[in-house]
Order: sequence, then structure tokens, then C-alpha cells
Amino acid sequence: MNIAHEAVDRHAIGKKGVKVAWRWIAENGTVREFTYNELKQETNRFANVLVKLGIQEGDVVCTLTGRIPELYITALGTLKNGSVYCPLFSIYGPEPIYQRLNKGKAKVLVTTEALYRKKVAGLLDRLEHLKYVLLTDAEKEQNGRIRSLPKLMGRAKSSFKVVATAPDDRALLHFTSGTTGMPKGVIHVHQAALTHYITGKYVLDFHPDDRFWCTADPGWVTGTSYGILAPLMHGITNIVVEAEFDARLWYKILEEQKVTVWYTAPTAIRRLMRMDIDVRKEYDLSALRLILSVGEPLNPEAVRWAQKTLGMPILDNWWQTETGGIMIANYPSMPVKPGSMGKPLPGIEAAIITPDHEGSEPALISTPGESGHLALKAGWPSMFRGYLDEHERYVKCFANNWYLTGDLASKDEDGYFWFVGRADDIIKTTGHMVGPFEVENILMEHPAVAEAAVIGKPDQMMGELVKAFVTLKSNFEATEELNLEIKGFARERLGPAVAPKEIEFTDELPKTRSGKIMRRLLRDQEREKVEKS
Amino acid sequence: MPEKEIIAPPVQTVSPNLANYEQEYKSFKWEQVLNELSGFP
Repeated sequence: MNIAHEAVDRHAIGKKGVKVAWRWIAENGTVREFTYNELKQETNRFANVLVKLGIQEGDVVCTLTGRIPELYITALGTLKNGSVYCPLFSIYGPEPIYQRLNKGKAKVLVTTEALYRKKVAGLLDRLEHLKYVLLTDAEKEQNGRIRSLPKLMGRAKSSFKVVATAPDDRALLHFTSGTTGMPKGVIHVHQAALTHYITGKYVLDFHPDDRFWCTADPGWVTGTSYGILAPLMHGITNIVVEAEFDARLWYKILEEQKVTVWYTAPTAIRRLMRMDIDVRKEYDLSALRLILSVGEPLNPEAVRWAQKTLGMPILDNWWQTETGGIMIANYPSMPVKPGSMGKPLPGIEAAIITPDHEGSEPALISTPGESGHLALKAGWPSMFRGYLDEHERYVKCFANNWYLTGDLASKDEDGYFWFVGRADDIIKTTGHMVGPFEVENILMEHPAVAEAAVIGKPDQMMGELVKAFVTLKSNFEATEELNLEIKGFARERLGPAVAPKEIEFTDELPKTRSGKIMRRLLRDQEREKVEKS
Repeated sequence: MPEKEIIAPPVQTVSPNLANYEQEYKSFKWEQVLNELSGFP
């Protein structure tokens, strides 16, 4: 089994060879298309480039670019060669790039000339494993280590015998932030293709004529699993947009490209919610039949907003870098409970367990609505196979064949799962355990609130007090009256034990590149303030 | 957990691949997925 064969070559061989696999829309509006046949040839060329450079099976090839065709060709060509593909966020500064290239022992980096000069050139002396930097837009070769990708591709053959990788051979390496701040290298294998395929079928509900748009950054696991692999495995047309978020541009893309299935993230949805656009009056989104979201839990308010504004609810789903693909989802045939993660993917056993599992089978919590640790029965095809060079850390993620996700959740009587919070984010206030998500959802229901992040602030009396950081919609002013009003609003709905005692208005919430609110930063900031006082 | 609020699934112009969740969840086998992929030539 080879992921790239399943994604590209098997379609190129058949009638789908002439079908558009990618429609790439450049920042300046230029459109470039690749059929499955052309994609096969281009990825073959890249695989041949790697062979020529002496890059072997298992060697790591990284990309550091935005959404440009070379990134996608690199990813698939690397897999064809049996090498390991590792995307990096192009927003990273030199030090995070160094950490990841060094830890991954990357042999090749594909990047642009501008990014190379700005972020990589100064690191080369410290990167002993890095043999080549391939520049996507360099006309001239510079020296032996720095090469022009167009030149190399121009000389490479368009035929290639795809390496017959085994299901358990390494395919993908994704770096994700750890709680210690040091990145973890999450390893996935070729067998992950089964999850990519089946989630494409059941969750994203791909049909042959679909035009799919995944807005995820290619540096994030979603950008690979669903921005590249799953749609191609179904032989459909994938829309790739180089430009970053812009509300009107996004609606225009949905309209002009007649997107049928749209996979996006809560951060983007909340930004769309902030805009006062009468979407259905101004844009024809009649082709759109499915909107899905991932990245962090989708607030019920966003589901309702979509129902009202776009004419359909957004289907939320849950997974992690470690799971390699969607594990719990709302499916197109199932009623939506706003705020719920949905139900486990067929083939996935999910459970709520007690935290006391050391050395014994974790105790399953069967009472509907009772919170506990979300766990998945180990053994699904896209389950991560290790943290790079951190075996002990990997082993700690499992207890008696259950993968412990680090998330807290509950399950209702209908089998829907509900996210409570990251185990690390739980607030302990006067003996109560408060999940930040529950509080944030209520705050988001207030008409003035655009986004909210809730943390526990150290407090001598309560242990921790519930504090909310709130950004306001553009037509509201941060006044003391509004602060009191929102507090009262939350208190009425959540009760005094759970409602925030403090609300701080802020212009922006700190977020990861993938859009997750970094509550840890806010918490650290508050702790520091308390210690100083 | 506001589970009492229920929104109907989005109206589809095609019939969903997963028409009956409970039934598919019970009978699902990963081996079947392999058959839908080409495997390696």
C-alpha cells in the first residue's frame, strides 16, 4: 500500500485521468488546473528528483511554503518515493523551523527563495542532516546544497515506479506543540490511507462530482489529511486557495467555484459571524450542500448562525494530530445537536473513562452526561505510531489498549459526545470542576461577544476563579456597563459557581496557527500577574 | 450539555454515503475499506 498511489495513480490510470484533481487559485486570481494525469506526471518527476539526489525510503522531506502547487507535488512525490513527508508552517520563525528540521533529521527542504533567505539561510550551518534546499522559484542553481526545483523538475522523467511501501511504513511526520513547549514529532504510516478514505466517504460525504474546499493551512495535519489526501483518494476536484482569510473573497470562492463540500475551522467561522454580510442575498451558494468544521469545538451559536445565514447547520467533528483522521463526527444523515462532537466513526470505539487507570483496565463511565477522559480503543489504521525519539512519552498515551486523548468529554443518552475541555484546561473553583468550553459557549450567545476564552485564575479563596477574556463585535464598545451586563447574562444561565467572576475585554485572543485558542498563555499571564502582586 | 436542542441535518441533493449510522457502525469492518481501495498493483 502506498498513499500516493491510492490518491493519484489509481485515478490517472482509469477514466478519471482527464478529470481536474486540483484547481489552484493564486493570490493574484490566476487559476491553474491539474488533471489526475498531470498530477501523476508531476509527482513522478518530483519522486525522480529525490532519487537523483540520493534521497531514500524513510528519509524526511519537509515543505515550508504557503498553498502553492509545489507543496502538493512535493507531498505526493515524497510518498511515491517511500520517503516521509513533513509539512512546516510557513509562518514559523527561524528557531521553530530549526527545531523541527533538526529533530526530524530532514534531508530535504522545499521552500521559496524569499522564505529561504528570511528564515533558513542563517540556519544551514547548524543543520547537519539537511542535504538539500530546493527553491520553488529559483531560476539559477546557487550551489550544491541549494538547488532550483524548476531546473531539477525540468530534467526529471515523468514516469516512476511507485515504491511498494508496507502498510506500517512511515509516511507522514507532523509536528505538534507539546505542553512543555517543545514540539512532538507525530509519526503516521501508509495504512492511514484507510482512515483518510473512509472519513472522506462517511463524514465529508464525497460524491464523484463534488468540488471540495478545505481551508486548513497546509502546515497543519488537516492540511495534509484533508487538504491533500482524502479528496484525491475519492477522485474528486479539490479547490486550493493561496490567499489567506478574507470574508468576501471566501464567499466569492464558494460561489464562483461552486463548492459543494466546505471544510473549515471555528476561527474562520467566528470571523465570518463578525461581519455584517447578508450572505444569501449577496452570493449564490446554491451548490453548497455541506459545511464541516474542525480545529477546536464549534460553539452552538456558530451552528445556529450557519443555519440562519447559510441555510444549513455546520457539522462539527473531532480528531487530533495523533489520530491522523476524523474520529468523532456529525454525519450528513444525522440530526445535529449544536455543540456536540457527534458520534464515533464506524470502526472507532470511543469511551469516557475515569482518570484512575494506572496499571488496570480503565473504568468506563456509562452514566449519560458524566464527564471523564475521552479514550479511543487502540488499533485504527491512522493511529500514530510514535513520537519521534520519545518512546516513553508515546507509551504514556495508552492504558490497557486505550489511547488517552487528553481531552475531557461526556456522552449523552443518544450516544452523542460532548467536549468539555483539555484535561489541562479544566478549572477547579471552590470544589467545582468547570470546563472552559461550557462557559465560552454561553458568553458567545451574548450579542456583543465575538470570541471568548475562559481560564482559571489563581485565587486564595477559591483555588481558581473563572476568568473570561472576551473580544467584542465591531459595533460594541468595551464599557464597564457592558462588562457587568455580560457577567449578569452568564450568571443567569450558568449559575454563580460556574459563571465568570472576572471579564477582561481584549482586541485579540492568542491562538495557535491552526486557530486553537491558547488558554495556557492567558493562564500563565494571569499567574504571573498574581505572583507579582 | 444542551442536548435537547436538535437541528435537522442539512438537506442533501445526493443521498448520503452513510445513510444509516447505527447499522453501519455495528457491521463495519476495516477490511472492507481495503477492498474499496486498489491496494498496490
